[in-house]
Amino acid sequence: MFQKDVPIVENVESKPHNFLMTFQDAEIAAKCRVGQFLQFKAGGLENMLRIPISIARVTGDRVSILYHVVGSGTDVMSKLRVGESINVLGPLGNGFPQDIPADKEILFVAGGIGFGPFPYAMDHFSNWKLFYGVRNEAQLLLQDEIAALEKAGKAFVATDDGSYGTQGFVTDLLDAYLAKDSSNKVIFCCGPNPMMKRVCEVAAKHGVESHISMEDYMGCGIGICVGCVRKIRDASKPDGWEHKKVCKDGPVFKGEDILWN
Amino acid sequence: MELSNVNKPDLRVKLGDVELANPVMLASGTCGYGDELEDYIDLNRLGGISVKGTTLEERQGNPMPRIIETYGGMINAIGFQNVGIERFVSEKYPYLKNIGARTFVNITANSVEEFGLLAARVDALPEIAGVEVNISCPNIKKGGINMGTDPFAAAEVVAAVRKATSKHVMVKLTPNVTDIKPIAKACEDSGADSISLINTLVGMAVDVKTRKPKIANVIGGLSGPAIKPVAVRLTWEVAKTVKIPVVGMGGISCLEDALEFLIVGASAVQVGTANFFNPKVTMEIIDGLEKYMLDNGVAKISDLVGTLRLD
Repeated sequence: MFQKDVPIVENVESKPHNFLMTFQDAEIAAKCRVGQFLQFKAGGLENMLRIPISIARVTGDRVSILYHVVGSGTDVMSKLRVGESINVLGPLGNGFPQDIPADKEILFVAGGIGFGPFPYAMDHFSNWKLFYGVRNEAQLLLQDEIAALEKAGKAFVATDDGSYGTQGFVTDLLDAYLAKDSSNKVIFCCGPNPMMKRVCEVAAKHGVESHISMEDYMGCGIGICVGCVRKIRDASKPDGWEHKKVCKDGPVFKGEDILWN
Repeated sequence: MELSNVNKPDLRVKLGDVELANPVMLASGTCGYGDELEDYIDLNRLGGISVKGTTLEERQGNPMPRIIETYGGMINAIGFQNVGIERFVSEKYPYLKNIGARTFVNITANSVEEFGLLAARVDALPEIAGVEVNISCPNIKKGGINMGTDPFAAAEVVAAVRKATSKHVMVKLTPNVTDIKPIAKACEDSGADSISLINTLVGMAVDVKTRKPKIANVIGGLSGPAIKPVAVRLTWEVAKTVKIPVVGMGGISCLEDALEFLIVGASAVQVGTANFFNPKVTMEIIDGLEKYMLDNGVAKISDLVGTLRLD
């Protein structure tokens, strides 16, 4: 994979503290797969380690990310201007399965900034529905696009405070949808840990396969620091599980293989 | 030597019987088993690589969170998650034996006997240059005493490893001691071929909102640019103390950092944490060294080693 400075062609605050950044690089764009991530270098000694962010969209030679300003690193990123460059490492990780049969409906379940990888997935696949949970309307990303998808019956939104869509948990929307018909479906999920754990429970309840994109604090993103691991079921190991690297073995794991604790 | 004769500087380094193409190595625990970095660097151009700390049995390591960034550095407590020596031999060695970089297997154990067994296993691998002995581990059979903080315990480990292998024995020292010099000397006297230093400094970071430690193990090893001045000082002290070659490390993330270690007496350097945020860093340092030598009329890398001026 690549490590290079790339020119920024867009960096806008689409919602408070939520940014959309696009850079141009044909080599990286050509290598990206749905569900992979990139590692961004923002700053010097204060932000020494890179920041892992999902690939949100690939359009020709342009790659976009959605990021939430939470710390000094993302703050540095948010202040970069069009025409400046940023050092990018990637694309990294395994990504979501690419070989889903066309007749199988993929249920994208996104929580908060975990929506990151799904615009790319929405572009890539055709037979899907989006379940998107956010705290409130102010956190709802790509709102115009989501509204159009809602009208077309392709997207369902839940907010904690009821400021947009259904008030409540997106996992309840998913549960209700699967209660009607759970045949020939597969779940792709990315969001906060409690939500992803609940998605795994809902998936298990309805006998639906799930693929969960984990997020973790990472030292390197390429499997050499072994700082981001999760307990993943492995019958061949003495304890029945193995510490797998989120960055290199993941970030996407089968829901049934994840040991939540 | 006249400057006009300095066309292609000689970067070769001799560590005992082992020759490295240049003084730049990848540090154990920051480069996996090499293959993880092949997209970013040419492993044939490296001087050497010290692979992930390897134990007798496979280990799953510590619970999460394992790492936290601090100013100019990071604290880690990975807990030696590794595939174990047998899987190293069957799964990792076939790749490593075909790379140009000289490979050292970093061995980690909780008893003198285990160190001997590991060294003997590595001894049977023809394309491995040697072992790097991580003596900064608790000796479980002796009440958990850290073998790297006591000259007698260190000597015992090194002697056992020396007996088990005819390959190069590099001993990696911990900086978490009152005086590193007698430990370095004890390692040399017990048969070490070289000394590498420093391992991480023990550190701690606290989340002031939750009042909890930021890593699950509470304490961990501090690495990165923040520790470099300490590492340079200890490298200087050890280089003055022993006659065997010294391999310096601790926070190296650019050419100038590497030069500092060479000037205070390191024959070679290892690059660690910088690989995490700049996987290409070793190539940049090798290119930079070549240019530095050309620009400054240094014909051989050994002409730089230990040239600290105190006048």
